[in-house]
Amino acid sequence: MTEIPQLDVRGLDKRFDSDFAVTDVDLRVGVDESVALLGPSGCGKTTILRCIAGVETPDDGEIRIGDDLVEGPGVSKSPENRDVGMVYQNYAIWPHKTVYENVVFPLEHGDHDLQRSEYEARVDSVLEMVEIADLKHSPATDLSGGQQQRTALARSLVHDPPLLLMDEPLSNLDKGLRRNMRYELQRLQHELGFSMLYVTHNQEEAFYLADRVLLLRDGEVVERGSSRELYRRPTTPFTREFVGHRNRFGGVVERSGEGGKVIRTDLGTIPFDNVDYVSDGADSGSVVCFLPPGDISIGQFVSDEADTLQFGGRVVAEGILDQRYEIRIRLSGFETELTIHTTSDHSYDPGDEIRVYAPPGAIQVYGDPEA
Amino acid sequence: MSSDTVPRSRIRAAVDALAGLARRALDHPATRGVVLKSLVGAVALLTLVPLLFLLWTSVWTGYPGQFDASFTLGNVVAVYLQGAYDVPRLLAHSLFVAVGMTLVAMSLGLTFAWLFVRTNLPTKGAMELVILSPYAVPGYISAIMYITAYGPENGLVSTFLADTVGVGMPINIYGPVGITLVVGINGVTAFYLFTVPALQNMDPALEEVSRVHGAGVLQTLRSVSFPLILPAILSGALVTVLRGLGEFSVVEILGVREGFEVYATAIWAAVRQQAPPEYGQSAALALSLLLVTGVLMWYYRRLTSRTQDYMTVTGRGYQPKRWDLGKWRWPVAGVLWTVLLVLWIVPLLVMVGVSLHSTWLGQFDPSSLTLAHYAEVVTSQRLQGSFSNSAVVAVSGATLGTVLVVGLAYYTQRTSYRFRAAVEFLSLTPLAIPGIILGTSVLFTVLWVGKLHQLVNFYGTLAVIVVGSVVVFIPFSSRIAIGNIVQIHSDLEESARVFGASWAAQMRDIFLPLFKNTTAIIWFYLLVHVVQLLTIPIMTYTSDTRVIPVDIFDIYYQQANLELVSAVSTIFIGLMLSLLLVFRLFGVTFYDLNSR
Repeated sequence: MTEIPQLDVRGLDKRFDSDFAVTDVDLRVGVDESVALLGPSGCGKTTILRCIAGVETPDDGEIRIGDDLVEGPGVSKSPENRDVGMVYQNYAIWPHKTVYENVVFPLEHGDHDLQRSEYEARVDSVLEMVEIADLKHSPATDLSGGQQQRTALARSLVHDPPLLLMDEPLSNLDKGLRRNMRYELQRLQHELGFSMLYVTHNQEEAFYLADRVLLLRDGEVVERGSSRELYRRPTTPFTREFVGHRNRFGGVVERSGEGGKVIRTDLGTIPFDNVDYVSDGADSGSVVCFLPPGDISIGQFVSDEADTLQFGGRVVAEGILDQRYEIRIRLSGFETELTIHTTSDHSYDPGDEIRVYAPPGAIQVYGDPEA
Repeated sequence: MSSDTVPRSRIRAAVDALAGLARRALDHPATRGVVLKSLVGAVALLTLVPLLFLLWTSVWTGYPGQFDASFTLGNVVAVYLQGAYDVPRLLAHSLFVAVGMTLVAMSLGLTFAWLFVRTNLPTKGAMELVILSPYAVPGYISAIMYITAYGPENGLVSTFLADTVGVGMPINIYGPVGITLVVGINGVTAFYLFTVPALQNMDPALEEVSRVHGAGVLQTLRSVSFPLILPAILSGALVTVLRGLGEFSVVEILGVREGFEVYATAIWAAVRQQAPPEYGQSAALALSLLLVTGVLMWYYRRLTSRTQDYMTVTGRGYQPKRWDLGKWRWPVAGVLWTVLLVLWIVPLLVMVGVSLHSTWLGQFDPSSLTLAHYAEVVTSQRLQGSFSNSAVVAVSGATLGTVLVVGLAYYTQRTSYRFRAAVEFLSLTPLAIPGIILGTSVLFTVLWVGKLHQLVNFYGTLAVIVVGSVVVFIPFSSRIAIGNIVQIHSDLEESARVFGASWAAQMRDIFLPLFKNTTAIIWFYLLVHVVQLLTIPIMTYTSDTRVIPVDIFDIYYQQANLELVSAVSTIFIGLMLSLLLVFRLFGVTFYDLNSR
């Protein structure tokens, strides 16, 4: 049997002044599943979240939370009757209340099984969980960004909602804090077990936290899949471009002299069978190629084997980034620039000529969407 | 030819030399201190010195300016212990008017503000125009409007009700409740403007997150929306109470019939209606009201400094969201339009109607229609003089006030000079000085100072009215200036200094151009308000320095000529409205109607 998903959205449409913000979006979040809506800013992901929460009214489509139809033909439940938790991008902590008063609010107004006498203990344990128990009686105006974030999280979890909606909850935090909160969120989700719909433009967050990811562009779902699948081998060049910071370069599929097909690129000519060709459909004409920066090695490849791509370039920029050394080179004789990541100890100056090599199998090739 | 060019070039050289001297003086490092400190010093002088002379007069046996007299507590004893004035009754009346006014202004102002900003009420743009129109209608004219519409004898609505239904007006506008209602209705616009920004700046996410976490509409209003704008409501209420405690014109015009007196009217009567004037006692009487307003003012200051906290947590980049009134949209709009019609539109129209009748008998009478009153206004020598006096007072007051207020704002926000907090507090003190008391104090100051030397005798000049009027509006105009100065990033000015500009050059090339719009808004704000002000001129005018507000007050008060005063008032309101219209064409608005 199929389990009833915690959230089921079908055919969601939302227009703002006749412009489509969201078009025909289907999306499901299973019980205890974590799903991320990923996309560039303005792609409509927040609008979808707001429609689910009930603070925005969609023009068309159905939304079910559990087995409860909250939005559909003739039905539009108000936000307070949807039993969800929500974290806003700017946290929306009420400035006139203390941390405790903020967090206890969903217990005072929402749906749950607790007695009034149990509220305080419950709030205490949630504050403990997000590690701000000592701030219980602080006025909200005294909180730092991270503390506001934790307060917002506590408030959204305190009534144990089956579905948690998060709108870019980490984007206003600095980098270290963001990483910490990412661990925390995952830990909480495993400990408490709730379904989570997570809106973000940050792919690291999406792939780290979510079991499944939906990629949005211009209000439409471009691609969906498990995080692993979508990250490794997405089916569209848009997704590939958006996910995983790869080197992109163009190429043309041609017939080689021996009758096989080759791809002619600025890096050299590569036998078609050697690359990872993703798109189905036509395998001719212009294509776009993606090569991970970490798959390019520096130096001269010892044997001159045909399936290793060797080329040279001039260093245009270099520097240490995170745990590795990043070099940007311009290919000799071309405009194309490539980024190389290496963990081994190298040191170059802009202007240096270097030789590099890469395995063609690491190159993912898609049909050119603009051709 | 040549004999002509030589002196000309000499003149040019002299002019250039002078200009160079001026420029060097301006570029001098001390310029900034001298300019700013003298402007702030002038503000301090203008606000505090009159109070000193008020205090002096209250404990002096002689008249203001009579040096051969001695200190005494006689005035204080006479007023507070011997019953020269019924102080408890005056205080009770003043408080009644102030509190009643605040309740009326608050309930109407808040309702309108919330409905306009946060709901999808239909026709709210037009309604807002009606709410804002009292900007062009001073209190004394609104009193006259209410007499023409709702006065018990000749009011159009009153006679209509008596003739058709056979009942009189349910509320007597000459009684305490009626007076308070009219005063309160006059306070609606200010209260509305006080609460609209708070409602607009509130992050809708704060309300949404309450709904999402289980609270209904009413629960959200009660536990989120209302507490969030409470500081704005409270400070609006306090300012309204302060205004109500000093209310003069409406109370005097309506209350004189049945002898309803408040502090302001009693002080005015003691100084301007008695011969010889009771200078000492009126000063002593004023002191107790100043004590009350001073305490409120202190509380207001505490309150407004705390509201800063609330600003820090508001979000950014949100989409404003309005509540859907659903099927109640049109019924609510209908109720509101009825309220607007009864409170503002009908009184105005009736007054215009009255001005067109040769004699008003409580109903429209086509046979009595005439333009004679307008002809009288236009041909009257005295009124022409008053119109030109009013123009002089308004323009010079606006200019003087703008210079002072911009200097003051710059001093408090952009320098590290001493007393910045004190100066900011000082700029608010006139809030605690009711107009009539300030007028009295200014009068005393002029009388005292004038006796020092003929050169500093300003008694009977328009300068007195100008200076007094400017002081009245320093609190609000300085709020505008300070609020806008913090929007200009100080880096812009500092970088100009780093790139080699002197302070004066920096002011001229960077700050003032950036601050141009705000300066214009302050100037127009002062112009519109100074020209309508009655309290300062009514205390300080002489036969040569009559202004239009004084004339309007007098024509009704002394001559009881309702038709003529309606005509003058109609012309005055017409001028005000066209002034506001012209400003709008120039892009100056005190308040942006289109921002939502």
